[in-house]
Amino acid sequence: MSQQAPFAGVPRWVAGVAAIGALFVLLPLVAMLTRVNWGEFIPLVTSESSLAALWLSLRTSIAATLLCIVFGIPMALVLARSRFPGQRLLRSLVLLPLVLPPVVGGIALLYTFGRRGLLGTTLEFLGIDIAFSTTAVVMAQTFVALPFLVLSLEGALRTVGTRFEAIGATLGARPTTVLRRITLPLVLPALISGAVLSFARALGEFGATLTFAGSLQGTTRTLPLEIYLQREVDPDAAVALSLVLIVVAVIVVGLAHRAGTASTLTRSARP
Amino acid sequence: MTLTFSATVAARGFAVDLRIETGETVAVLGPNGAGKSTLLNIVAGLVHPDSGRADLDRTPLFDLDDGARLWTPPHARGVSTLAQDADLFPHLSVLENVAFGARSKGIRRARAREIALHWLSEVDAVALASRRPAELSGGQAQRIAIARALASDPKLLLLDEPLAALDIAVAPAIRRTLLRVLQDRTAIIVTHDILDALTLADRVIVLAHGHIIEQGPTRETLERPRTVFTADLAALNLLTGIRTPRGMTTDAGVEIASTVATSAPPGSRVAATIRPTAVRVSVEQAPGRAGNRFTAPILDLEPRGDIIRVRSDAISADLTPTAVADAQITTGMNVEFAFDPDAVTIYEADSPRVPRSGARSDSA
Amino acid sequence: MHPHTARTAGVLIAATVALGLAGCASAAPAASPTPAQDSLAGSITVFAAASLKGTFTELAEQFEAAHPGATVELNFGGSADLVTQIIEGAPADVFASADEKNMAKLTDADLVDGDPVDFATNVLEIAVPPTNPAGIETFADLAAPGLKLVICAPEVPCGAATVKVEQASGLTLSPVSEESSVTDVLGKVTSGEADAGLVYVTDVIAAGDAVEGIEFDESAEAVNTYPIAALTDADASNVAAAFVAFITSEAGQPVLSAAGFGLP
Repeated sequence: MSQQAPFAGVPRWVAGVAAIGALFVLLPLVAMLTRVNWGEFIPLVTSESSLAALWLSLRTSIAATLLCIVFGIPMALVLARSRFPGQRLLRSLVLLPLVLPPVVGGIALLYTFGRRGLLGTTLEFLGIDIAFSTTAVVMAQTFVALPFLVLSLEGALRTVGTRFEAIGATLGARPTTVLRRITLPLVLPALISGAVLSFARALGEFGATLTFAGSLQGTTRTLPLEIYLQREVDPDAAVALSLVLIVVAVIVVGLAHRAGTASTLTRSARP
Repeated sequence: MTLTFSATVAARGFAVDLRIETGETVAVLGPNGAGKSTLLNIVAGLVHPDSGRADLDRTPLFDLDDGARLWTPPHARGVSTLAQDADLFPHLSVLENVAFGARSKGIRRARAREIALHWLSEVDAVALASRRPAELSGGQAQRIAIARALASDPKLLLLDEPLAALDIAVAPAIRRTLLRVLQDRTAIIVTHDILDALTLADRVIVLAHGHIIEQGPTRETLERPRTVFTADLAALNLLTGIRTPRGMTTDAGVEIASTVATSAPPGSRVAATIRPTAVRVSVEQAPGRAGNRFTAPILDLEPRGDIIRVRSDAISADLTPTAVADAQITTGMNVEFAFDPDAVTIYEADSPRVPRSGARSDSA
Repeated sequence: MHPHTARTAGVLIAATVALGLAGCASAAPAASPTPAQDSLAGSITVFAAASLKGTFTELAEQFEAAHPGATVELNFGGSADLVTQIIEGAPADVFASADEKNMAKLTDADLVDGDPVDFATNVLEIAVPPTNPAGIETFADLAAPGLKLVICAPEVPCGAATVKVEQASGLTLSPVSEESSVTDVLGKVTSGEADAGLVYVTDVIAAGDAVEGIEFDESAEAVNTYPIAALTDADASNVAAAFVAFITSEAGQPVLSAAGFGLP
């Protein structure tokens, strides 16, 4: 080491406890790696059902992430920058999917958009059929992933403050221009890391998809559902596909971390 | 680009009426909490007053009087601000920062670049065009901020203590730049520094407790203040009273002798200024001796750069730290303040230089 | 914690334990035959397929009533899941599977004590929401275009049965969803999302008024046979053997057939 870390005052035993926690997370991953049938890995992962599931998962997760961005940005702006009665309550409700068991989320979606649901007759009248469709998968994923983006972005908006927006306004920029050229660029790292986390959450979504969308190869059987099914019959396939999901998740988390730390704010003017 | 302005904010005890002519630079002075920033924020459109009305270049900025509800948003006012922190947009280059105002108006990129480069050369910063704000020093950033504010072609420029965050060594250069660019500009500059007012402003307005208590041409107001507030800002001692043949009698009844020529006739209301540096302090009291002498307890010993201001209720003296230490002066001690008759400048001071409509009838 | 809160918690915990013990204690003997082996004592854990939940709960109560010294812990789940757990070392003494394929996995792994015994059969039945909105009457109706049909995926026992029936009848079904468990299929029918689903006879009976059942002849082509076996490494092997014997005896049949199971 060419440099010593600055004095941080962390007691030594803290490292020990941290190591135990880290092992708790890492050992199951190692255990999975030992169970993978490496000889059969490629055929298992490239089988028709596996590829269909992977492709479906990627498509729907990307669509869900885009929806999260489109709706999440305005939600975060309203929660962080305006003030109205009931705002705190609204904030708690919007973050509800974070703590709700996904199956419960799926049931709730069913009761809303299902044939007999709140909007069921309206949708039927409009000729829109949601259950058992890929749309239902995207909706389920968006439902569980939205809070991640809203939370990440709202925090950043609060931290950044509004002084640059005020300056932009006095320089003659209309509110939409301010949003486009000042607000969003300033929180871009948080937006990216929030979007990446949403993508990861959407990718791994299981309970809500199962309950709300059903399971049909190519239409609604995402990778987690495919793994769930393969368990019954071919544990090797289940493990192999799980590894694929883990690898994708690790890549995604790595990207989120990189985006989060590459903050333009760390390069702000020196006094 | 004439600004007419009148507004009240009950919660802050703010009630101000003023008018600024085209091309005028007006300095707003006052202690902390006087309402200087409130004034700027209302003009810029960032704060809503309770009532009032303002017009810039005959277009209304806001009108909340008599049931009207007109409010022009900040981006449509043509008012640019410059604060003590440059607050350049961290994600844009220097050139993009300066071009921001023009681009926001819809001016095409190439033309906006030209405008930006023009203003960068006005502030001697063309070499910095491709840098990022994080790479700039405080003085450089402030220069860019000036260029940015001017490049948006504002009708009115507001400066909120623009030199306050700069190094002593760097401030003079920026002050010179400001002097140059404010030549034909309508501008309001809020400052704590008399030097800024003297250098840059045609007129000063003194705010205290949310009201204008004095205003007038810069030199005259700062050299011949009529309120203690203004005198304080100008670092002068101020005594008010009635003219006598040998000098004046203060309102507290003390006789002061002055040998400086003045046109004020005996019996008229006058004010007198004495520079703190001309006041001597001694622990032994000799009331019988000739000259102007005050005995008073010391309220405060205020370090100011390399001198210490010894304050009492009516009068202050500037002493070197050595002198203070030698005389063993401490707060609370009764000491004698003395000054020579040739240090007292007397002038007519009928009443404070305040416009009749300074305080609104419905203000808090 | 407040001393007050701690005391309340303690009282609650004691009450819960007391109630739990009371529940586990043998109920008053009902109309069950008094067996000869009253000395049977010990606790066993029975892993059983999810479709056996209602019947095995009742049968276990009868067993405990007849043998006051014996306790039966029940664990229900998908047969394949249970097999995986047992192979990984879960403490099961008896295993009742929804099909022979899963039981074979355990026999192959030498985890079965003796031979498995078939104790029940199950066949498929069409389940529709009450009032049968799609007007299903025969198995062939399930192939109607635009019908929202939900079935089990071929990888699970009820799905394998569905495939057999499909092939035997020469029909091609196009379901909108292939679920991993028959419970999920039933769920889609009861919620009204599906027009029809293929589940077991026992599921239709258990669902009561929530669904209407439509029997069909082709179901005989795919009979699921349920085997039960005691496992090696059982703690109370005599209790385990006794339980297996009870299930497979005539005493166990009334409960099973009431639920819709067929004879083995």
